[in-house]
Amino acid sequence: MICDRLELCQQDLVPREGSVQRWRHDTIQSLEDMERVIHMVTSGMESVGYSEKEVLTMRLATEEAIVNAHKHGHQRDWSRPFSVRHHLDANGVVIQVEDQGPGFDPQQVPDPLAPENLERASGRGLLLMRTYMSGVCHNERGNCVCLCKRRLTSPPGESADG
Amino acid sequence: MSIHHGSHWLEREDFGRVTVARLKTPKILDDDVIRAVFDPIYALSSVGRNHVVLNLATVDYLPSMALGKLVMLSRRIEVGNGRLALCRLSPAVQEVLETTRLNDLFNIYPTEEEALQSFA
Repeated sequence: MICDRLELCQQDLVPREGSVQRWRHDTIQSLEDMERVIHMVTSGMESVGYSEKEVLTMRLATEEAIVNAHKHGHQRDWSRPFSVRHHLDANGVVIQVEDQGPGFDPQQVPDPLAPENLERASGRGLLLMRTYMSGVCHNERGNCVCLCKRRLTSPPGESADG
Repeated sequence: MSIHHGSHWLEREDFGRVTVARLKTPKILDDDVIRAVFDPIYALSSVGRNHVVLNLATVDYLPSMALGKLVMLSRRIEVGNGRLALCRLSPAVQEVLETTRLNDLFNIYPTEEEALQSFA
């Protein structure tokens, strides 16, 4: 699913306390920061009983989003920090990555599945994010991406029939 | 007889005209690791070693950057009239190649032995 409004896919996944949504905020300024944040998300998912595949695909999509911010948003300049905020619980995971770059139009990214693009060296990150997430949203400027993953498996101790 | 070479990220073994390159890192993520892994493999074609088996047994998944490097490697080897085979792909790596329709681009084998035999 691809939606154009940043808030749409995370409205029901990120609970509110009054008018304030509950997020955990982080700043990334190094590869170590990236690994730390990803580890926090994946270990949190494991502790709530997400499947191995759900954890791996969340890791893959989050890495793609962060690498895109670093590579395209900040031209590989680690001295420029960018923001990551996330929320996870038994219902799903939401991660937002925001860089300080000029942004881009995701609609203008060439289709990597088109035959003429299959042998291009780049352009598959967005496809992978969209494949493995329930939703991928960008803000209007294109410098903030939101990854939403709704839980598919039942938490441990619960049957699929509920 | 095989000839064995090694580095931190990559292990290389030559079987006649075929070179087996075994990745030793589960993650191919940042630019430094990507260069350290792929530059030696790219260099193989420069010295006439154009028949390459890439063993991905230790790789948990392939991010898009590494996919791009694989595509470039495949193209470079083919330009030199060589052939690239991939083997020991994890289910996650296999799925990524299928999702990106790159599975048709590469010669993929379940084991290193079968990949080597494909060059016979």
